[in-house]
Amino acid sequence: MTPYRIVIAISLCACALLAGAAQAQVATPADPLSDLSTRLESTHTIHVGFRQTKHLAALRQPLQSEGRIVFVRGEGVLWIVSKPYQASYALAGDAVTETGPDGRRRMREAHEAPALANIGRVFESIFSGKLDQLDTYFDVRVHGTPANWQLDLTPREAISPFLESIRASGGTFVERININESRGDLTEIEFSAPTLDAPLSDEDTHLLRQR
Amino acid sequence: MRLRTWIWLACAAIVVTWTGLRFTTQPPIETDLLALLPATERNSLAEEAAAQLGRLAGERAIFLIGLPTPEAARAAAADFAAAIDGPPFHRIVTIVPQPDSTALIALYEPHRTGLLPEPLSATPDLAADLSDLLEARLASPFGGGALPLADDPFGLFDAWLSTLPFLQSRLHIDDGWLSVRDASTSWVLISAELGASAFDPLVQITLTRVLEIAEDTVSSGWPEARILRAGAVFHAMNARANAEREIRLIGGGSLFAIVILLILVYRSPGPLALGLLSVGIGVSAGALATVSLFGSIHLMTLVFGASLIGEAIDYSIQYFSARLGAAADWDPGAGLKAITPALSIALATSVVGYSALALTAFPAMQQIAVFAISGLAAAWLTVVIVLPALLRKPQSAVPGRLLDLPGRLLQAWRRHGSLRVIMVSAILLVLAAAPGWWQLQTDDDIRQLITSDPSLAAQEQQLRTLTGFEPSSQFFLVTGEDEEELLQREEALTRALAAQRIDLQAVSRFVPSCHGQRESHARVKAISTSLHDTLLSVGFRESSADAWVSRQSMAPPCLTVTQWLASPVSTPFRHLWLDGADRHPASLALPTGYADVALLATAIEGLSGVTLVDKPGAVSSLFGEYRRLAGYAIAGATTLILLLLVGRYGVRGAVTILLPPVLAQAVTLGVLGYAGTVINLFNVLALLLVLGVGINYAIFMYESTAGSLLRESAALTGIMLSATTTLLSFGLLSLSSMPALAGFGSTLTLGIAVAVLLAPSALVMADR
Repeated sequence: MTPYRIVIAISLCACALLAGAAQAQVATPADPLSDLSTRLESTHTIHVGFRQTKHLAALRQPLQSEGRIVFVRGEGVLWIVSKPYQASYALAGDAVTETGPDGRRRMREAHEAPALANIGRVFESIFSGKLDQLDTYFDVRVHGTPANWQLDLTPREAISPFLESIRASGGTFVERININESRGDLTEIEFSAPTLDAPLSDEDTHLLRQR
Repeated sequence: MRLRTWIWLACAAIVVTWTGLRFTTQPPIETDLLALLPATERNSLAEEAAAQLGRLAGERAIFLIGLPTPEAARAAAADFAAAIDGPPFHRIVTIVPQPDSTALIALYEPHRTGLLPEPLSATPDLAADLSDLLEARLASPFGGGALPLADDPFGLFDAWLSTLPFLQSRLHIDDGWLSVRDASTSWVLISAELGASAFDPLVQITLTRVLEIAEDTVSSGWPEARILRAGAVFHAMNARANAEREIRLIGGGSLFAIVILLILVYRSPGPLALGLLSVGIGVSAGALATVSLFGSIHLMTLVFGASLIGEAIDYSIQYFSARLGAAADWDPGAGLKAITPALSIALATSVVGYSALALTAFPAMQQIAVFAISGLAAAWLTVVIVLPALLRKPQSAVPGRLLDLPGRLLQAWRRHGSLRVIMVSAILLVLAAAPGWWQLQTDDDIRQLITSDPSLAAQEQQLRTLTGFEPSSQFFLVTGEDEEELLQREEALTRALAAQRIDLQAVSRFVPSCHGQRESHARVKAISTSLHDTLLSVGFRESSADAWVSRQSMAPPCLTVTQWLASPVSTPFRHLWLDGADRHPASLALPTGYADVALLATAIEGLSGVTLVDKPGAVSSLFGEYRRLAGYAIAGATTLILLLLVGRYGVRGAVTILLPPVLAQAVTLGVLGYAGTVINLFNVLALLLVLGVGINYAIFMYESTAGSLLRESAALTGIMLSATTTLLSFGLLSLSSMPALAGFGSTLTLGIAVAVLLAPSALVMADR
């Protein structure tokens, strides 16, 4: 579904940066991201912590959440929220499994939840280093050095009239993503402690492969 | 006499030249299966809608390119798409046309407070469900919806957009390509629209060439690539190729047999040349008459037409036999006079038989009737007008040995045949056949018309399994006094089908009725106070919650079909709305996925303004109706022919002549029953022709009596010759890949064979 392109776009660039392969669109000799992408190209799994703050104009207080993200090449993506509530989102293959704060598990086939499923696929393809889609949706600009780079994504038309810009920055790894929406809504995601090719825990394996 | 001959030859030359030119330059040959089908719907709107859907489907071809990795599949698909870009395709689509979000938002946003997604519009506790949705939205790491949180905190608009039936298949978009994966292969889908009808021969020829190039391109880069194809155009190409092969087989086989037999029997070039002339004029005239009357000629008619060669030669053969029998006494004028009654009655009975075909509502059968009647008439005219003028000399050498066998057969019949023997044999034959009649089974399925290529069918089955597209051949036609009533009826239909777990693609899924929109709006408005509290409790600012409630309280303007039609959002679904300025609005509603017709029919019981259009079902039941009617037609034709015969031969002679073909029908029906053949309209129509054509042999036999043994032997030789060519032609027709024609051909072959074997009984009875 098209309105979800915004969601896809956001997830897409987050992953792009995590996978560090955004140089596909900005292949200049002095590409500040090339180090990152080369390093992650052959990585099988990535574990990374995140802290997300959503500043929403309608809300009195920002919404904060923490957790971790696990990418497994060829399988899918796990987004696990641990604070302030426990929830997980497993995007794998043709299904999306959501485990809500109430512990209720909801599995949906791709065609029942096209938005989430698309994210899953996009995550996977991005993680495999294929970023051609980024250019379809965004105008991509990179500044800085490999130790301190900044990536600006300006959405092209027809993604969402409400998405204004996405900015990512980092050094040896992606450190932060800011997503600006109209009316002052802003989402900040900070990443920490990336671990490459660490073995997948039984619990994560279960979450990812549950059906 | 001379003048008449020249005039006819000149006419014939024009006909043959015209047909020759017409069929070599741009053959007006129709391959569209739908063109074979009669109009079945009482409602002309339904007929129009069915035609529109058929056209839509007919103009689309679908390809799936499969390779082990998605990257390779996409690269191969890109090459394939580039290779087929151009005529005959006018559009290559690699992504399902989905409107961009701006168009969706522009269309629906102003009306969003009246749009409630289906699952929520029926929920018992809307407030609780909405509060769950809000929590999930706030919790979701993926956050954003189509609208900012303040405008649509409960995500109702997103939920509405996601229930629009845009992409309901197993396909997903991978790197811009529609893709699907099975155990070992990644498939990429390419959809292509033809610039013209799938049944246009030029389109088919171009397509064959274009596809060859495209497949070569793909297989040279990816030798292990697999390409699946589906579309009406491939069936049409297949049908054309099959029919062309069959026309060559039947036409060529019949002509070859005629040439060999005529040379063997008459041993001179004259009869051969004149026989072929009468056949050529007959077939050309048949083609001319059919094309003039119908605008084009269907492949099925042509295949049948090829088998008419064997029957058209009969009149010439009678003339040659008379010449053979007269030996040195031959006088063309007297000879013609002697056989004219037989030829005329034979033509008349065939015309009666074929006319019954023209009375069915099937364009295909009508074409066959016109082709046969005009072709036989032209062949008959050629024999009557041209042959006596051009074949004046008597048969030079009468080959004694040639007439030995027929002579001996005749004597055997005379010796052993008596009225009693014949009557007893007839009764025994009927008794033997009768048990078979009760074992007859009928099946009027429309598929009898269709040649199904197993490879194509397998590819389509695999494509259906992979994509989840399950095209339904049934649909609903919904009508109403005005747009509002129509949409409400569609909604009632959607609910009735949902109870049977059948999903529906309909305009009201995109544009709910105004009544529905007002009701949805009222439902949310009624609980807005409690929703306001919910918003505050999750941390909304007072002002934001107030703003949402006040927007929600305003009655939205109703979204209309006109607005939807004007938006690019409706592009892929515009065929659902039937335009018509001068009538009440009408729309199509398509059940998605496989659904039992009976289930669909029961689901709409009690709904007004909804018609289930089941074209294959309607045609099949019409087949059945005509099968029964054809039974009466046989009785009618028999009576008519009996009257015709009584006029010339008296009651006794008429019965004598009618006995062989009627017995042949009885025996054929019995054999079909014993053989377990499932019979349909085409078998019954063939039985009708067993009467119309099979009677010829009895007539020729009867007419040849009261002459010398030489004359009678010559007549029997002619009859055996005629029968051989006719049987060969219809026998070859029974090899047709079109089940309908094959059944038609085999029933005719069997029936005529029996009619020929019994024909000499006419001779015996005439003696009495």
